[in-house]
This record gives sequence, structure tokens and C-alpha cells, in this order.
Amino acid sequence: MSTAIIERIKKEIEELETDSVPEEIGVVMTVGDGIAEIDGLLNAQMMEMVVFDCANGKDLETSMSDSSDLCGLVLNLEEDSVKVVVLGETRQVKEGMTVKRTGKLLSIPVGEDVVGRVVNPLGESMDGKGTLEGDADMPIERVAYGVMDRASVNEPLHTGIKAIDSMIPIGRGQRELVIGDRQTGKTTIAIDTIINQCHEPLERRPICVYVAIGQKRSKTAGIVAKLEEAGAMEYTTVVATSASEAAPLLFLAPFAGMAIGEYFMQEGRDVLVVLDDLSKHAVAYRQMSLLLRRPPGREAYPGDIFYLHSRLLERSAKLNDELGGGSITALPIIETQEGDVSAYIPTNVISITDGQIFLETDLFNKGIRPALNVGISVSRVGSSAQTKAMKKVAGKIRLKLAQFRELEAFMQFASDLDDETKARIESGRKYVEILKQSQNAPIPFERQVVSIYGANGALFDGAVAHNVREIESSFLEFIEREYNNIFETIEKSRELTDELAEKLDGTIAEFKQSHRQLYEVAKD
Amino acid sequence: MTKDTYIKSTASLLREGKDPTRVLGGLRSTLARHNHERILRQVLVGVQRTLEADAIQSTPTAIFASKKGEQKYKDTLKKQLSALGVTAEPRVVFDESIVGGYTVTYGDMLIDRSYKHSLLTLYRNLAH
Repeated sequence: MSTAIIERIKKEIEELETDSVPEEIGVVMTVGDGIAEIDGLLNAQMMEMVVFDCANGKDLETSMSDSSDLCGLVLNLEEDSVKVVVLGETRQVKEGMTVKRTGKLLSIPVGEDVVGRVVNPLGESMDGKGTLEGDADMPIERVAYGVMDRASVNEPLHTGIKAIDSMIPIGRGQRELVIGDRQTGKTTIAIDTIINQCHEPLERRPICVYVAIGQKRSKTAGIVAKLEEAGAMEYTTVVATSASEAAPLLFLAPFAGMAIGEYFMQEGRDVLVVLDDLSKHAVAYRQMSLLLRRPPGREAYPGDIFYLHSRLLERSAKLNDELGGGSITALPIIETQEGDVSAYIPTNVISITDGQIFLETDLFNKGIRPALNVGISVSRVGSSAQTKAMKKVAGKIRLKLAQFRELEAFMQFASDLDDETKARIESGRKYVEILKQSQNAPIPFERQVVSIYGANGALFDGAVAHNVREIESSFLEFIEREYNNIFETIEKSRELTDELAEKLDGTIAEFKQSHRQLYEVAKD
Repeated sequence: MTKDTYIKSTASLLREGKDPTRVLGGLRSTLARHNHERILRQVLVGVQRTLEADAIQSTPTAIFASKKGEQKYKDTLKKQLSALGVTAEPRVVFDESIVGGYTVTYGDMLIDRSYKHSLLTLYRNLAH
């Protein structure tokens, strides 16, 4: 046996030679539906971890087959008893079983080791790559930073999606809600945002945390595979809870994701936390609250359902320089039913977040993907979270699209339109085409700037709407091939100077000259 | 009035030292008045369990693996109990599954110096 192992065992034995400290215990009175009522534990704290003595009565060998103690979380403090949610197999809990206090609040191991891994809300590995050795333990529940500890949001978080980065820009430290019906592309927006971070230089690249709350395991596995393929898992942690897991784990998942994010934020780094989705989180919390016999309110949700999400999302912040300048950007996702954004949970979360991105089924079915309704989507941070280059080119788009939408309704009835109106409609159609984007193909911001500059300028003059995307991709390839320094300059300086704009005008003219067939073929 | 209410109030009166015959008579008449006679047996079982739990709680219980263990740790146990302010003699139970050492419970406090607990902790720390 090696010396190292012997030394380790000696160290473990020394640590066991402690004074006999009495532990406070309780006894299980009732257990069912994942909730155990414990007699005693009168000094237990809210959200304290307790440990069930499943080894009681069993011999040593049988006890060793359990890899860890069965834990519970104290959620109801009553006069003579406490109610505990069991974080594991309830079948192991029996009436009369002893329960010990740990004196600790629920925490999750965090650190550099957590990046690139798939974990559950208790910090246990789910990807079969070995146990996690965290650098620290972060509490799952934590009070958000105060007003004076924060700085204003002024740095962009690029999603790689043109429609969002140009018109609904997201800043680092912001909370932007992604809301829409099922199968409208909400998760795709989140995943594309994560993948797009690989275009950021290493020192500015945010750590990404994707929290899957009650998702199908096949979907989560698919997402992990996509992130691995794109090389995004190198800076991403996935906190996974599937639909078949107990409600307490679904309840804890987003808090665990935030705790992981807070560790890196305290180190001065930027973090992106995606919460997919909070509708399922609300349902899990409702289930737990009803089983804990808490009084039901509207739609049977407990009275503190708003507080559940507000305290979660308030942990997202941009810290001031004294605290390291780190940030957590939150992208909570909410699923609506039949486009009803006035339902209880959606309105709650809309009032908490700093903006929302609305996705509509009608737009999706029309082929407008991402199916953003730009008219009602908003970012309350706005252009403070945009680079100067993007600010310069994106100003016109929203107005042009708004004009197009007005005329689009009108043109169905009018038989004879004047030339100016026709030109506006055609221009609007081209902008709609330009804002379409393929799934899992985020575009770096410098390319977006060039593309939108071209759309504002003469790039698509003489082209028809359905050929715009082909012209756009050919143009970007042309610039990359012939004038790649344009992209490099915009990426470094984040500005579109007049000199650069003039150069771009020249390249557009050159492109149109050399690629006439794209415009002529379209007319045919 | 729920079953738990009957159990709590009956147990509370008996704890106060009231005459058991009068208390149980009062219970029967209250149940009859509310048409709850059918739960009499369950209430009595509940009261019995509550009072038994009280009795266990107020007496320290020491668990040893064997008589040999009891002899070995008798003095240590006495010192620990007196440090906790417990003067009553502990109720002794033998349980081989703790392997060695002892555990003592008094009220809602537990001191676990069993070999089983130490070995299990050691095993889990080394294995993970």
C-alpha cells in the first residue's frame, strides 16, 4: 500500500478524534410525496440541510453500499415539528427514522472544475467524468447585492442574432426575458447566445451556465452535444434536472445555477445564466408548496411565487469596480399558452426583468426565424449596451420595420400603390429577410455591423427580397476574402469610423460590379 | 375537532397529572357529543404513542454493541451524561450493528461514538 494512502488514512482518523459534540436530532413522524414531517429539530433554520440516518439498524456492509447520506431541506418550521423536502429517494425514509441537523444551509461546490461539466443542483456529477472537487462551497440561497455595490450596465453581451443585437441589445448584468409559446425558438436563442461567446476574446469571454429545469433528458443531451460540437462546453456548465426528478430538485436548479455564476462574478468575471424554463420552475414550486400545506393563492400558486422569481433574478447584477466589476447576465425563459402574456407567471417575470424578447408562433410559421416580434420586444438597457459601431448602423432598422408593418396591412386592400410606398414595402421586406438567421449559426458582431450597413446602404438596391440572404452571405465571404482587415478593425475598435464607412461603400460597389449575376438572376 | 386535537389535548391533561379515569371519561363523552366514537381506538393509540415517546425522551438511552462494550464505556458515558446535566440512569439497549463504541440519546440530543458511524464517515471520505 502506498505511503500517500496510509498518510491519508492517518489524517482521516485524526479528524475523527473529536470531542463528543451532542447533535440535535428529530424523528420522522410521517413521510409521503417527497415530504417528511419531523418531530423535534426545534432549532433548525429555514433552508437548513438535515441528514436522514438511513444506516440505523443496518449492518456496516449494507450501509457502505449507499454512496452518500440522504439529505433533506427544511422548508416549513412549525410549532412542534418541521417539514423537510427529501432530496433523493423518499423510499429510503421510514417512520421513526432519526434525522440529524447539519447546521449548514444548502450549498453547492463551485470552482474552475465545474466549467465544462454537467451537474445536478446538489453539485453531483451527471456526465460520468468523475466527482467534482470544488474550490469553494457557495450557498444556494443568497441575498442579492445592494444598490451601492452595483454599476450601470454598459457592456454588450452579443447574442450573435442580428435582430437582437441591433434592436433589442442585451448588456452584461441585465435580465432579459425570452418569452413565447412552445416550439417558437426560445431555447435556440439561448443556445446561440452561448455558442456566440466563442467569438469573444478569451479575456472577455463570459462563463455560461445553462440551467435545464424539468426538460426532457433527450433535449438536454442534445443541447450538450450541440455545445460540445461548437466548442462551447469549454466555458459552459450545465445544471440539469429532468422532468422525472423530484420537485425539490427542480425548485433548487435555478438557484444552483445562480450560485455557480456568483462564484465567478465575485472573481471579476462575466457570467451568462440561462434559466430554461421558469414556467416549469413555478409549477414545481407550486407542487412543493401544496404538499407542504401552504395556503394556495391565484391559480393554486403559493403567495410568495413572485418573491421566488424576484429574489432569484435580483442576484443577476453588474458589480462596481471595487468589487471586481464582474457581472451575471440572466436569460430567463417563460413558456406561454396560446400567446397569453397576460397570465400570472409571465406578467410576474415581465415586471421583474429588464426587457423581454417575444417570440410568436405566427411569425415562426411564416418562416421568419428567429420569430421575434420586434414591435413589442424591448430592452430597457437599450443602446447603452451597444458598441458604437452597432449604434451607428442599427438606428434606422426599427423605424423602417415599423413603417413596413403599417404598410403591410394596408397593401392587402390597396390595388394601386404609389412608387414611394412600393419602395418602402420592398425595403421592409429586405430588412425582414436580412434579420432571418439559421439555427445555431450566430454571427459575430463585426459581421452584423457590415451586413446591416450594407442593408442601410446600396447593397440590396436592385435585388429582390427572396435573394437578400444569398447576397448577404456572398458579400460577407467577399469581405473576408478580400478585405478581412475591415472585420478586424471593427472588432478591435468597436467603432465604424467615417473612413471605414467610406471603404465599405467602395467594397459594396466593387461587390455589386463583380457579382452582377446575383442581382440579374433574382430579377428573372 | 380532528384526531390530532383529541390526542394532543388528552395527552396534555394526562401529563399535567389529572386523574386518568376522569380524563378518559371526558374523552369518551366529547367523542360521543361530536359523533366521533369510531375514532376512539385511534385516539387512544395516539395518546399511548405520545406518552411512550415522552417517557423515552425523558430517559437517556445508551446503545452498546455488546455487554463487553457496556463495561468498557460505562465510565466515559457517565462523564458525558453528567457534562450534559443528565442525572438519570440510562436505559441500555444492545445493537450489534453499531460494531463497537456507543451512542446515547437524551431528548432531542444524540452523541454518536459508535464505530459504525466513524467507519462509515471514514469510508465515504476516502471513497469520494
